[in-house]
Amino acid sequence: MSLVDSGPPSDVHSLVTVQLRDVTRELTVVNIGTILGVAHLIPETERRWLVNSRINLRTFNGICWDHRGGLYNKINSGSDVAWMWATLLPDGAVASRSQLGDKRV
Amino acid sequence: MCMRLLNLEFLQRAGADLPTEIVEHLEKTRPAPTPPAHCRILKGRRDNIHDVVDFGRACDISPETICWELIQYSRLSLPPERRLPENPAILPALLVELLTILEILVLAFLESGVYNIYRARCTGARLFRNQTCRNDCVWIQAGGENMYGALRGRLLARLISLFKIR
Repeated sequence: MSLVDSGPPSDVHSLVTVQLRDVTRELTVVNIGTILGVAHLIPETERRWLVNSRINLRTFNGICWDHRGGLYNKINSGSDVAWMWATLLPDGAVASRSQLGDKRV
Repeated sequence: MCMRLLNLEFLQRAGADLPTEIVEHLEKTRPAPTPPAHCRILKGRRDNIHDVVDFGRACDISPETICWELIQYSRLSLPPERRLPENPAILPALLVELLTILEILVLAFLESGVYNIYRARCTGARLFRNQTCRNDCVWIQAGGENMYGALRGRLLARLISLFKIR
């Protein structure tokens, strides 16, 4: 994967965006010693992802990820990204599900 | 998500009420003070993979591509005494062990001596628990801290396979 615009965090959600390389070798061999850990990517489009470096997975799965599609579609719809991350991230505070529900209305 | 490797000091600091016999047992069997800083453990060996050709077949990648990538890796990253043979008759016949799990010990945030064990899985084209195949995304240290903007030398990649060459 390659960085979008050389890797600056977005002004909107402060996350880095990565995308599949357009012209790419089929694979690259690396030493396993260079693998630092498992990464969590949030799909933005089919070829682009946000790199989650802010929310732990328990919070993400409990609040952001709605398998029925509602809130997750909101995140993906673009204009709601700023609202979503602003709601979840200021100073590490996390809104509860009910608070999110109220704001969505 | 991940498992956590706790030491006795952490449990006592957290106020865990451990029976005396367990504390004595832990004191007696205490391993090295801390695990190595960059400990990696490969698990989940797949059978029926013997050489580079089998490896390519299992990953649905042509043997030529794999050999070419191995030669590139060998030239760029391995010391001269450990480089792979580039002879097209020898390289495809090297013994290969294919694995599916890489356990990575990561120091817990704001802790010392407490490690989270992350499991990066890669099943290649095979199904994971009878559902879709699973090839996790991982962080890779690909350069110095002044590279790749906010990622500070790290890049993201999707694991295609984990292997050892013997």
